[in-house]
Amino acid sequence: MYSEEEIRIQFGEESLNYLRNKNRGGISSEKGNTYENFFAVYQLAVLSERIIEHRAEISFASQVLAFVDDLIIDSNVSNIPLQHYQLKNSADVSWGQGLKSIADDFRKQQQLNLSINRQSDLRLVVSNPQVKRFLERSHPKDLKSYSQVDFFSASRTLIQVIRQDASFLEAIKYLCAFENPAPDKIECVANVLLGAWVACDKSNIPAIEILKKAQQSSPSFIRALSTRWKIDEEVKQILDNIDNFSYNFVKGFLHWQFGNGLEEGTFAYSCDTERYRQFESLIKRQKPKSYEELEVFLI
Amino acid sequence: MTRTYSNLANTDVQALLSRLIDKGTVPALYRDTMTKLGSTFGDVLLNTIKDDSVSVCLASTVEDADFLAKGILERLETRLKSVTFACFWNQRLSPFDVEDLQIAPILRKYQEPTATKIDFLIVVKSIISGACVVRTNLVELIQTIEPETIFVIAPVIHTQSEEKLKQEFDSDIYEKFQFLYFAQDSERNPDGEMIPGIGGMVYDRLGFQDQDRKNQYTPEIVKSRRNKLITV
Repeated sequence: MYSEEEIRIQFGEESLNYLRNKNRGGISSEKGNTYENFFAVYQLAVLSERIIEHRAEISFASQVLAFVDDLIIDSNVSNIPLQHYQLKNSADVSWGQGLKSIADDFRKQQQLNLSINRQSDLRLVVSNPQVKRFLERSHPKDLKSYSQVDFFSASRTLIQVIRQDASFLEAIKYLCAFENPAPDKIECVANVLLGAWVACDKSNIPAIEILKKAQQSSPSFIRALSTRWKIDEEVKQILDNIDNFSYNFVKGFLHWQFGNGLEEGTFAYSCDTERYRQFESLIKRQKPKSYEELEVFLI
Repeated sequence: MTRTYSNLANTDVQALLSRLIDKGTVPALYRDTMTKLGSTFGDVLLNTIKDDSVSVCLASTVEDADFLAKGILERLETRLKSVTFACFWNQRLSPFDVEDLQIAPILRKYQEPTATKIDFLIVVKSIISGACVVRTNLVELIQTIEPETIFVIAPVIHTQSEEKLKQEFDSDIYEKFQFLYFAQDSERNPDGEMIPGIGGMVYDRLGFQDQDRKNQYTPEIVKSRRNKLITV
């Protein structure tokens, strides 16, 4: 996003070396269950509706050569500020002074963004409400117009964070291939997004690519991104004739029940995938006449 | 090898556990051994549950249904009047091979009708290691069932599993837990598999080959029980 040369010219060799070291430190500690990754998944989830329904071209970056680099969200519209997030899951956080302080990083990030004609929306995100209040009280005046302090819960696992944050839960439910998803499906969607985020190249990746990558997990239980699918008429007739079997399609997934809820399940691949087309071909070829003949194909 | 036997593991049980560890045990004998271990757990439960009129729900994974769970179920049904069964087809995965992520979503579920408030919920599994599958299925079950007591049962569990499972639930739930096991292991091999555990990957030892194959399987116990419940 930012070239080494630009940084050297604007801030000197010492700042460039600081950023190089900071960047290396961030990449080498790549684990799934981290505060930074949970926050990135939260942002991805809450932006998903805009990305899917309104085709918003939003990009994500992390641990790139920048002063505020835990997460950078770019809406790719010149008049929308670049959103930079610095995350601190600690009880001991202050704005500080001088090189390597949060305040200095924020000032330099603003200057760097102005040099590429972009406004900044810089956020210091903390997991402790008291720390948030302290940082708000001690917020340097010159940073106030382009920065603020936010709260985001910290926990050992992603699902625990989701349980504490209603907006996070709603965002994951939107992405989930169910009208009223069970806890295991919410956990699946969230962790698949987390895995996709951890595994992707974070230099500046379109958010839609992260969602598509997440969908490649088997299962992902992430809603189909397209609405261009329709059940094959012959398959419909075969399924309709099976006693005690019912089914429906929600967000591009086949959900089924047998014996009025005695058994239930979801075909793990969305209707716009090759695996679903193979399922339909199998049904047409085998023509199951009972649930006993059908059940082996439903997984 | 760091194995500790519980006081439920008499010499017969220890011999059965050794048979699981023995790599030479063929799937048919392995299945039979799991069923016998299930029967022993069934006897332990019957000794604990004195009242025949209690309501019980037994839940297992698909791979354990016809063996370990069947052993327990058959024993319980010799005396208890209200025993329902639930079976889960889980897919264990680490999304994108990220090491510290483990999930086990439910692809398919069989659950017999039961009252909301029941006396005993019994969750059984052939081995409890990371407790991911047990946690997932237990969370699902308590969405609709309110048990007085929750038995978590496995022939072999990891020394940290009890604590790990408790961490995932609020106190009003984990205070209901009662763990029953025959042995605790503390070692793992570099792949994370418990040593000696139950002698390797349970899907393979039971003859299912792999996770996909076990998920395509419908246990006989599910087939026979649902046939009695479905009126055509």
